[in-house]
Amino acid sequence: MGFLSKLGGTLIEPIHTFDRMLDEGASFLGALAAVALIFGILGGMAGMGIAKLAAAFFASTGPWLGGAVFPQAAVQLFFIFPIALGVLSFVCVLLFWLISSAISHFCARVVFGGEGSFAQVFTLQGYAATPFFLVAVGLALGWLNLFLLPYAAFLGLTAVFWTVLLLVIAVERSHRISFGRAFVSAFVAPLLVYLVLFTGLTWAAPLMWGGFWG
Amino acid sequence: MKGSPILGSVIIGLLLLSLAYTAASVYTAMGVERKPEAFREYALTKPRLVGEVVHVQFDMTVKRGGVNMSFVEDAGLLYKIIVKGNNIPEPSISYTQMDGVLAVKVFAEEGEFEVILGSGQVYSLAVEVGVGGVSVRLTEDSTVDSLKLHVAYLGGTSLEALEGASFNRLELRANTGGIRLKVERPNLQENALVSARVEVGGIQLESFTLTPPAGGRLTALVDTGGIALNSRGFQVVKSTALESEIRTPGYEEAPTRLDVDLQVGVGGIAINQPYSLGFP
Repeated sequence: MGFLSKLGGTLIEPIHTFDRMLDEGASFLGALAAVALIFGILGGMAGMGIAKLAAAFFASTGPWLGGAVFPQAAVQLFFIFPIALGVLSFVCVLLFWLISSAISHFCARVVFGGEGSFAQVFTLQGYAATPFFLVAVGLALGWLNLFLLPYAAFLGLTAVFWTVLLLVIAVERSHRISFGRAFVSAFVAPLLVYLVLFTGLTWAAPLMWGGFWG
Repeated sequence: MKGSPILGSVIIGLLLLSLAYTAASVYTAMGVERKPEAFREYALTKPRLVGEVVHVQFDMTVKRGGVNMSFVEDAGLLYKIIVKGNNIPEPSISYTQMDGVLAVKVFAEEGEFEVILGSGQVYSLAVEVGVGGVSVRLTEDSTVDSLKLHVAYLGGTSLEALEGASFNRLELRANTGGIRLKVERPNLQENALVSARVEVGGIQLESFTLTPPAGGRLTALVDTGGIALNSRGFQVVKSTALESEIRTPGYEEAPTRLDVDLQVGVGGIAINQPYSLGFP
């Protein structure tokens, strides 16, 4: 099963595609490539937007500074921001993907007695991020015309819901558990862990701050 | 599963198309691919005038923008003004000549100006910028009687008086912003004064050196803020957080003296400090 078939199949026939990938023992490298491609491009596009904002700021302050800053700085910004954000976005998503897969796998295996492996969950959940290409299309629509931004929002929401659905199917197929249990493992459990972590950090931060500055 | 590879290709294609379209939009919107900057040049040389010119009073006002002034070894050049940028309004330049004195007046609403002055006459210079920056470099080709740089509202001034530069009085004023100064072994014909004042902001004196037997004295005064002083070979007469005075040894007996007077309302003064230290 080729890379393109896996990407397309994940969207239109996720159950069949995930089952075939499990049978073939698909490597996580394909999933890694898909995530790197989608989120690298998304980060790059976001970086271009920030570069545009930064350039607009420099352009407005340029006359104050004797015209010294713009457009020389703009040329550099155009390349620096997209590359930096592309790499940063990929690294952050990779981390998030790793942690979420671990939580999903732990919950499915320990709580619901699933039979899948972490590598299977990790691989399938990587492909589950495919709908995020819609966010890139939405961003491009926004650049085309600001009036198309509601459509960009619609595409973004669609991507999120579609991805959640695919994450659940990924756990369901790899661990052979019911859809409800897979939903708890793939969505509720990771979200709960992130919420607890966030709450803990919010509580701990002032204490740590107080400890530092005393 | 027949449609899957096609759909996969569509996904990759849409991703790349989105990236390419965004890149092209941002590239165009940021003006990276701009038309080359236009240049306009206004110059006056001695052969174009009747009668001798020994003194030039150069008075320039720019409401928004930058002025970069320097001197070249050209005895026949009185001034050359280069205006950079597209769609910049035409500056108003006029001059009158009387008894060997050429009075030049330049006014511009906005723009970036390169002003090049010659070496064959004495200059009295006054440059005022509303919002923006002024940078002046005095070298051995410059003979300046007085120089006034004034940033009326917001911006910065940079002045370098380098080895061999000849001047009597340099006066720098900035309302909100900064002044950067560098005085390195100027050619003092008589006692001279450098005076700098910023209402809100800072003054950075990068270096202050003199060629013996010339003597130098530096006074710094801050109303609210602080002074970072590195006396670097000077005798310290006074050094507090808000007031400092340093002198070269034998200042009182020196045949020619240079007094540097720095004042800041709210902000700081850094004297002979590395730039990264900033103001206290």
